[in-house]
Amino acid sequence: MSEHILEVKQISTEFRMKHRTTYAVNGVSFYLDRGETIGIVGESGSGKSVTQMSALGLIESPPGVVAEGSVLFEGMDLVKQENKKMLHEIRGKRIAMIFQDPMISLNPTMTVGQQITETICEHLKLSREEAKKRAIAYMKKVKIPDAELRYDNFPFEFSGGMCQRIMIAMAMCCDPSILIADEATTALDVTTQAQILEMLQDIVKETNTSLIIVTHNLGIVARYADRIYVMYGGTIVETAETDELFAHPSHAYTIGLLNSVPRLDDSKERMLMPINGIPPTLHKKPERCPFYDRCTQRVERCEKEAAILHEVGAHHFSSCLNPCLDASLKTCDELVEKEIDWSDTVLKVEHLRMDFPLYRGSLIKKRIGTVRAVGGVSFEVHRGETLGLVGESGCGKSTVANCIMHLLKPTEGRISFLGQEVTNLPEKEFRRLRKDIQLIFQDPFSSLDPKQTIGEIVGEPLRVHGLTSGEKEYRERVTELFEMIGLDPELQSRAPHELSGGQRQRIGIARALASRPKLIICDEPVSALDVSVQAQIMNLLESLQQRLGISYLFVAHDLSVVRHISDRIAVMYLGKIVELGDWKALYESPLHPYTRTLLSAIPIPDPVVERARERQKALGDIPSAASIPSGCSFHTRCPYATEKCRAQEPAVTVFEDGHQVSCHLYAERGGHA
Amino acid sequence: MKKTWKVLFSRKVTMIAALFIVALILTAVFADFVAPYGYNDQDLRQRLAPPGAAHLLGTDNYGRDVLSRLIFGSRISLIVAFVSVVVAGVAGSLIGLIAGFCGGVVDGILMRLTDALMTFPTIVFALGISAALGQSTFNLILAIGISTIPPYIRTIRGEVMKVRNQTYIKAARVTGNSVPRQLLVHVLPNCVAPVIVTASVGLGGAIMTEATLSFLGLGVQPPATSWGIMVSEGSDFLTTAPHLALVPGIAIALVVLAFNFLGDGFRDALDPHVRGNL
Repeated sequence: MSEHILEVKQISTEFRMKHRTTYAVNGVSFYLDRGETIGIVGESGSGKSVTQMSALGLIESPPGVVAEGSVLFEGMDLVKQENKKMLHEIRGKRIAMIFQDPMISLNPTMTVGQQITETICEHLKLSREEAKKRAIAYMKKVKIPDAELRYDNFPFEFSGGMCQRIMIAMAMCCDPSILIADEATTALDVTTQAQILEMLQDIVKETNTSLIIVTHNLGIVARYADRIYVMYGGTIVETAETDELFAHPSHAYTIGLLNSVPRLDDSKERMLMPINGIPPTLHKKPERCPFYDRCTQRVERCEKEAAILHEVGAHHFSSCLNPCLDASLKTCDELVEKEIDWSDTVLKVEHLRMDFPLYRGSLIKKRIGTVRAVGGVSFEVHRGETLGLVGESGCGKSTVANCIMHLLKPTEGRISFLGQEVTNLPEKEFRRLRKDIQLIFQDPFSSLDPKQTIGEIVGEPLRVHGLTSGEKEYRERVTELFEMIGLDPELQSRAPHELSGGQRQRIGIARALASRPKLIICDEPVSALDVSVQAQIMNLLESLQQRLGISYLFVAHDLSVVRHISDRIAVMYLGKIVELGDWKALYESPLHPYTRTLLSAIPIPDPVVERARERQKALGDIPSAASIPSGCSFHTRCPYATEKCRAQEPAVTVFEDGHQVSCHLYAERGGHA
Repeated sequence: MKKTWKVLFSRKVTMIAALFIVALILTAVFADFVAPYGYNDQDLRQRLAPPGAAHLLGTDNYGRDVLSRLIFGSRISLIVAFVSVVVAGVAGSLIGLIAGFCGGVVDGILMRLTDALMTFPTIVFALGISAALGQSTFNLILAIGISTIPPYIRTIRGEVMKVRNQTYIKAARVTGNSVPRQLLVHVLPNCVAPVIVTASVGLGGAIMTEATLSFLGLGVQPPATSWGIMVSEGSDFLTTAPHLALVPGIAIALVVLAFNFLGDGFRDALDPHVRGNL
């Protein structure tokens, strides 16, 4: 077993700042065999990236110092000073890395071909011509269409997914022994993410390269990794082979994580169990289990003893000291029936269209085209209902939200709110309605005014709309709101930057609730948060709805998140709703090929379920909204596309249960709307 | 905010500069008690006396005590500097706020006017205004104030354009804030940091301009005194009694330096990047 291609032993990395030291990685060991794929999972700040950077000598120093440990690559210690020179040759050639954001990892002033060729020339000492041939071969390998032609394109001429393919081509072109993918697909859409990972897996298997996937997404490692390391607070808390880890998770944190992540195959009864509290700051060297403070299953030993990895099964190690952990997923005893008044329509959107003109020139502007962000969208939201609006980036879901919020003026269509048409209402009059319709933002960091205290932020709607009479009532209401969202009212005088991401998002929710709105539009409210915190916010939103009877329009890109909270779900693709239906029908028997693609692109954090799934792959990339394909806009990527799809736009087919779909495949089976 | 102050005074230079300015303001306010003589008390027997025991910094050609005149003169210099900076800062911020928030044509017109204003050197422009309006302390303030507006407009406009696109401004609109409230409660407080820096450096500049204008005879009129007038009067005796021009000259240099250090301190203390590294 000494044949590990890479073995990291007890590595510790510190960042020594003037006033304090951050112990980012503490005694992490892992190994990688030839041709193996391992996954390193952890939330932000768990030290997963720093570990990889330390291993490759990429830690910026000062302030970063690899304090101890060794990194053996084919038997050579990369941390040792005398090997530093070799490291430069190994990096890029023998060990390659791909990062999160492909757009900033590529040089914008050089063509992609040049950049790949340069890497080849640098490491393999080939002639220019040979290098170019090799570059094109690799561009084909990562499935870039017309590789010869696109060799001379600049990075900005590629989509994000294509750029990441280029990065992979560049990383793989010198036949490295190890490829490290550090959150390589996090910034991409789910269908693109699935395509890239699929392709990466094929290449890696074909060339017998070892792959390290660093990610926060449990689903991805469940689908692609052979072995998994779970990191928390700068240490590895558990490691096992993938099936074993998901079948018998043996660390309280791993269990907590599995309990907090929504799954695509969840039943409505399943409860998301958030991990309360916030991750450790790591300003001290940990003496006990780093998860101690947030752990719900801690035992007496945890307080005094250091947590060290010990064997709990075959190739299965955990540092948890609790011998009898409860690993089951939680379900609630009985489902609280939501009160939805289907006869009371809160929001009605009819044939909403939003075009953005494209101009060229600065002084004299010439219109050169139109981006159709939203092309005729209709739906209703009823009292007490949650409608999920799902789609990939660029599908127009946020534009719809902005139109409803009167932040954009739609090109065509009608928006009615509480029975009153508001489409063309002047801002002055609409402002009075704003107290009834509120918005929760995606980014909890930029959506709170940094110069206000959180108390002022929460109370602002009360002041603006004059909803409280007198200072006393105002105070009481703000305190009530703080209690409602589960924050200590004592914190009112804090500034936003003193809070964690989850706490800030709670403030955003409290602000939205302050004016007792009838409808709240949630624009990706959890996508900027860590998985363990996401569950807290989702549960909060759900319980608030039950108590207050608010309607939600829940905009998101992640179908597994929407599943838990939505009553009905609308799937958008390139500015149109392609399918709309009851959540159960939509997840269990999706009709539109796009919905099916979207569903199968999302990995489920359970390797057994994952293997049994039937998966449908989309072809190619999402077309630009400036040149939407004719006919059915999905025909360019649809495996079932026919001549009719290319020529004719499908009408909406409505089934008896209200399930709607726009696809020629179903045109005969239901009635036309 | 607490942190800003902490960082601001963690530097020795900033601390010393701030103490110096506070001391200066105190002596100016309590000049009647601090100064050994009145600013216009003449002792013709003691004309052009060098610094000594009776007159710490000597006397001028009318036998007036230089130290006392320096202290009383600081009143006018400081008042002119502070008020003109406030005038320029407030006017500049308002114009910048409007230009940045409205954008488009309004922005275009306001900024071209600002550019036009910037093409005049401050001194020439101030000279023109005080020549046109006549000589008085009020006009002096106006002249300095108006001629130093452009940098404020530019800084705050840039900030507003940055802040305007932040999500929290969108949030303010969604909450139901009216446009004036959005501007005053949300945009402005997030834009003032660079203005404070510009203003503290500008204070030094205003003292200089006041001195220059007074030196040229367009500022404060005798027998009232300011540092500029003292340099101007002293320049006639540079060979016989150099301390007459030197003393106020050094005072001006020190104050300008102190305000510049303070400005640097503010710039770093308000910059989150610098603050984070400390």
